[in-house]
Amino acid sequence: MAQRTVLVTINQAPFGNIFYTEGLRAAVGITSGIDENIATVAYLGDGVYFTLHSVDRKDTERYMATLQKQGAKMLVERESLKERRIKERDVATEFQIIPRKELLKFVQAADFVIDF
Amino acid sequence: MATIGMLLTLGPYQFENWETACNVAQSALEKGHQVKMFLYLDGVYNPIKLQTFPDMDVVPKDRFEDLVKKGAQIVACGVCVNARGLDKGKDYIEGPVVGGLPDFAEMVSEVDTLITL
Repeated sequence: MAQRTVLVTINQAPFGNIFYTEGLRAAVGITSGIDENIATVAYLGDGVYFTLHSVDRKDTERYMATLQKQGAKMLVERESLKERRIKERDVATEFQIIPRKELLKFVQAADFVIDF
Repeated sequence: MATIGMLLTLGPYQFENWETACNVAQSALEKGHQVKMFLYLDGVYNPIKLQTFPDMDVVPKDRFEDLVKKGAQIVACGVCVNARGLDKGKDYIEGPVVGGLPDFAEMVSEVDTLITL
């Protein structure tokens, strides 16, 4: 048994399927064991739509609050925003926008990467 | 020998993920590795013993049964099980247990590698 660092990537839009919320539930779950694993969440591809100001995030509020309380990083890939012509100012303040190059460092540093 | 963790989020038949998971798990077990599998979301449909399909000699649950016989440990997410009306997994093959995400957290702490399917 050992504490592990896990990067949870959410690649799917917050509509059409349930992965956006179940991915967050899994991220919370990962941190729930006695080893207190560390979870970081990264939004890429269509997943970035979840991070916009105007998106209704009520059904994920509890998971977001738990992760924030634990100091989990909530990252958004800059290139995914750009590819979708989304302005960075439209991303909610609880998310941190980082370039792909920097995200790769999180991938490299993580013990495991889980994609949703 | 390594311990291989697997997170399976898709159900039987419609996608090939379950089959890939079974193939990888089987190969690993036959080489002497340990396998721990967590069934999440529709993944919890895989070990239902009532599965039948015309002209199919081996249905998904048979493969999971074989994995259990070879020593795989399989845990299904209880919230997902009950959300799908599977009544605490009462129709599961022998072996898989219904647990929760803390079991997944424990699995993450224990395994040498983790595969998401």
